[in-house]
Amino acid sequence: MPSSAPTLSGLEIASPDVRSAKRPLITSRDLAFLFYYYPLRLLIRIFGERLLSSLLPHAEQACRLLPGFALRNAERRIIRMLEVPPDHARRLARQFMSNRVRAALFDLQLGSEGSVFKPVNLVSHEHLDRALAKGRGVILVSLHTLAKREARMGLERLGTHIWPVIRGDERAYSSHGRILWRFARERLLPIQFTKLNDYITSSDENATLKAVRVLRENGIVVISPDVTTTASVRPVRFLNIDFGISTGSLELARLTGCPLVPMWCWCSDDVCHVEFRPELPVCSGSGEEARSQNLATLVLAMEEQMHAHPDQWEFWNRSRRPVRKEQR
Amino acid sequence: MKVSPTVWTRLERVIAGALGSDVSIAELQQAARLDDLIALDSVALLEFTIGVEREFAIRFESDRLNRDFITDLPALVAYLSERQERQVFAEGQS
Repeated sequence: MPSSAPTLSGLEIASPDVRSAKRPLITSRDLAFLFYYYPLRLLIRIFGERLLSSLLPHAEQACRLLPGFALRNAERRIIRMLEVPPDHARRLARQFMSNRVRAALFDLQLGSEGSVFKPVNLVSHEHLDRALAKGRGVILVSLHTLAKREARMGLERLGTHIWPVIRGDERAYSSHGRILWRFARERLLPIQFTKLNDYITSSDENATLKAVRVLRENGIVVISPDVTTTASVRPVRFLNIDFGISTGSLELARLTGCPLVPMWCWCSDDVCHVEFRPELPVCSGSGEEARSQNLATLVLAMEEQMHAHPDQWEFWNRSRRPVRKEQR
Repeated sequence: MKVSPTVWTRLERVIAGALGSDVSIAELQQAARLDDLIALDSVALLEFTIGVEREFAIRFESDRLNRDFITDLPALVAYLSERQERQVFAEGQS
């Protein structure tokens, strides 16, 4: 059953305007961006659906031509974290790279006239319905998967309005120089962020209170706990490595009593799948024991998702900031 | 507005319980903002907000749920006193 979109008049969603004077004028990423991303985006704007649909079936082949470093890096991590044989890890890494291309193409065609949206297959929607029926709002927890944006837009089309907590446009293009940053702010960020309509930025000092306002309207907030850049990160053992998990979603659920529902998203060539899992039990106690127990429950759910859809995780070949010493 | 002294006491209790900080009533009364006394990240702010709601058996209106208002101690205390008075009046009516 689709949820009604909460009307939150007066809820300012703009993120702070952060301009760094320390940025160089231009970086190597700017050059790659201008020579690769922008022309490709222009082509997709012109040819729209036709070009995209002809590109997608070749995504897998295109991945094989990508620099071996990214592929090897992903493969190495998959072996270490999922403990799978090397040949299986290689297959997963290739599929992951293919999914990355597919997700990038989806982003590129956003805003063009002929945008292609896959049909959405909702799995176990009753878990979300049951949680919404409690009338306290719902916190969806989902890993950073390559299908997250597409799935969110798919849910919107089906009438399920959700508020994602995102890192915000002040962090996007953070490794670019001042020239492209200005260009990005004017031309690219509006495309990338206006498509989201409503969102909460994690760097906003009112982020948690805004989430509470959404939840009290029986709205849906989606949070990805696999980030290391928020203040609420705690070190855990996650799939055989030391990892940082944000506990913001757990604290929100513990303090407000809102149901915490895992959401798994993955895309195949033709369909975007969104699966809701049973509500996670959250201890409401304020002690360290309750918090640790909640964290263990969340980690277990995240590991389950990783094993179910291992080729979808966005961070397989990304460098992640290690957990700070004081957090250990 | 006349502020009930119990509001400060109850606020001190919330700060001790929810934030684990030992702040005296005198310090609270002298401070303009809670941020001046305690470092509040977004989760701590939420703990404090929910703690106040539970202590005073109220629910903040949507437009009051922001850091500026919640950490503005004189404004918060005035608001809580008013809510407390309204509660007493409502109980008296019933």
